[in-house]
Amino acid sequence: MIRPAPGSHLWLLLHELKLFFRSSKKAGKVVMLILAGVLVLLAATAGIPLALAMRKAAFAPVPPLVLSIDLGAAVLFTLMLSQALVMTTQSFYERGDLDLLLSSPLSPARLLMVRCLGIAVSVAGIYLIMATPVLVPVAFLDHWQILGGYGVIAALGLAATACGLLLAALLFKLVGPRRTKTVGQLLAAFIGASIFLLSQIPNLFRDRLRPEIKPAVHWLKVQTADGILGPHSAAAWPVRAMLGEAMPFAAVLGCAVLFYAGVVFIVGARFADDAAAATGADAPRARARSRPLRGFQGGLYSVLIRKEWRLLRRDPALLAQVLLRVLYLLPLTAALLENAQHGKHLAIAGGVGAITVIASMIAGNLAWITISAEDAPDLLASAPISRESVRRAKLGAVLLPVAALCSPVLLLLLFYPWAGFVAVLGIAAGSLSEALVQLWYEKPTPRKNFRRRGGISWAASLGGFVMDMGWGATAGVAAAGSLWAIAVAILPIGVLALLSMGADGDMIL
Amino acid sequence: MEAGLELKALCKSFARPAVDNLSLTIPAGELYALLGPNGAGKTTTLRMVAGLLKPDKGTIRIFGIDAVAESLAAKRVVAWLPDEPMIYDKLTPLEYLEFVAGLWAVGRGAAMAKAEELLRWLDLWAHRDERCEGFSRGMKQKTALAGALIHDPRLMILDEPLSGLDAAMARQVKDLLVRRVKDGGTVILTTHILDVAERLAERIGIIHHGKLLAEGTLEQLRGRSGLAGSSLEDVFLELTAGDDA
Repeated sequence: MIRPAPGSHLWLLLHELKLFFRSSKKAGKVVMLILAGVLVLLAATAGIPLALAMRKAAFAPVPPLVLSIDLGAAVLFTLMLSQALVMTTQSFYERGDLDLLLSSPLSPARLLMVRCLGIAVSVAGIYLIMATPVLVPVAFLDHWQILGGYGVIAALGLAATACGLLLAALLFKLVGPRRTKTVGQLLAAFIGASIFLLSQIPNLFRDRLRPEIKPAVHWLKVQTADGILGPHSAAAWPVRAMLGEAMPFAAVLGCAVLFYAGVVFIVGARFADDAAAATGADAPRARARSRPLRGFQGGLYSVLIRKEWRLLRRDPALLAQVLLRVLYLLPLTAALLENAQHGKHLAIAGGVGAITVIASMIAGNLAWITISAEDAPDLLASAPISRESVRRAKLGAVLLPVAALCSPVLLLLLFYPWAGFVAVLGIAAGSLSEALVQLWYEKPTPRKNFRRRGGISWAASLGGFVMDMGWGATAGVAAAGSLWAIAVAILPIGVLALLSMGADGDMIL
Repeated sequence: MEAGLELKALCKSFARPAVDNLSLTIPAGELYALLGPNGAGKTTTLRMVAGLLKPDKGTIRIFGIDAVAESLAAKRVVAWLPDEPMIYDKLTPLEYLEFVAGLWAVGRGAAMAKAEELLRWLDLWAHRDERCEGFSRGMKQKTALAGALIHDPRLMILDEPLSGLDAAMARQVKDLLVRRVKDGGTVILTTHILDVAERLAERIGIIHHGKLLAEGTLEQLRGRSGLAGSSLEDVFLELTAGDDA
């Protein structure tokens, strides 16, 4: 049995791992079984057929492969960076055992090194697992070198964590501890959506970009032939590392490790001071502005809805989770209206479906925050109001902002009344379904414990996701004018009915 | 005299009985202290009275209202103040009071005037536009206390009301409770600070393993324990130790 020296890196790492595994046990056997099922399904439907198809093929870092792997790596990196930025920023603020560790004679840099390693494992972990159903079958069938892919994903995780830490430290210096948490969350939301936003530029500015497209395609052709995307270029290193070439593999992983160590070394010197400064970040300013007194607003629904909106507005950390989806919604809506102007029927139907899915997801997230994040459930329970009144008010607090966000879709009614009508109906059905599921499965939890979505059961979360997709598909097919929409609608309605059976006793509808 | 609170054969079990056949009556205009060791069933009893838990058996009447059958009517005249303040960190004290007044349907004008009076009395007026997230525990407790008082409750249920308060504020709260009782209000509280119960309460109930072991004035409890002239602490330890044995 390993017994590392107390206070060493390894000792601290084992301590962190012990805490991580003990908190992960809550996920339970069902979740592990679902995860295993998804992995087997992916292996059967994608990994093994791909491995069989590529059995005799020779892998080489040809330019199209270089381009696709580099693009894939860029997408993965932005997603990891978004998550790492949130987690590294949080590491300055979440006290937990930080006060205990910082008051011990351990070096803050060592503590940061180990803590960020945990973050790197967590941001890369899910992608390492999801890559397994493809990498392992391909490796088994004559291409063992492909296991280098694990190294590339790990390197991306380390680099993303280091970048996240660097950004968090920079924000600390630039905007101060009070604002870093908020700005960090918002920045993370933008980074997470950056690739999607960039991909929407051609859709939004099609006419203005048309003259630029031809030269760009020509430039890309030259580059793929023997330019910056050639097999011997630096851009090909990730692919060559993935294909198991020793030197590129060592270079990619080594660069990531060096970058990570360097950033931790630089930031670690200030970590104790920054973490100490973050302790009082939530304290009020020396003297808050005294506003002129205004009268109280009365009415049960009014006070309940206003309270929910105030809390939502004042919690940027939670709001950022919603914002990420709003970032997807707005360009999609703009593209939908652009397509409507140009009379592109298929694109309109797809747009209606996509907007329905995203609006439903926003409603689900808002509902989760509004309904389950409750700091004073006993106050509401001890008040002389029925539970149904509270729930209806919370439902209103959720649906009104979604309606406001989606209101530009109403413009579609001007160009394509049927598609516009279907979009409105789809958004309403999806949002209401998500909100109802949150109401049925609510688990009041204080806001400060609400960093990640996980309040409701896994079955309800999964059901909510399937419903969103189902309503999106229904709206898309209906917008295309097909009667098949009725058949497709059976899926979300069926899931909603199933979920209602497992709901608690007091149902609102 | 009308009973402010009347519990009859109240039972509540979780994994084991938490409250076991508990009966007690508190006349209107009395301050009653419910004492007991940790896990005795004090908070469970108070949470049932506040309408936060449904009893398995038994009845709860608050000023004659059946608190189980007519819970909303009963809640209108009750204020519940637990040891952990029920406030929203992201709201200011004034916004919090506006919200609570809305829950209890207090008229806007009356609520505004009462909020100002309470915040001034609790030394929170200068902080009325600051969010509660930066408040000390004592300030949060004071904000929650203001919320409990904004609808002028007839029955106040307080679970460890003095925890987190400094000496001056604790005195203010004790004075407030005495004044409310003099004005006809009814108060039931739990506390681990036995001096508080000894000085404030007209009657004291001692609960252990969910059962009411003894009840009465301090003199009556002394007589029951056979410790004439002793402090409440001695009486309490004698009675609860005897029950364990």
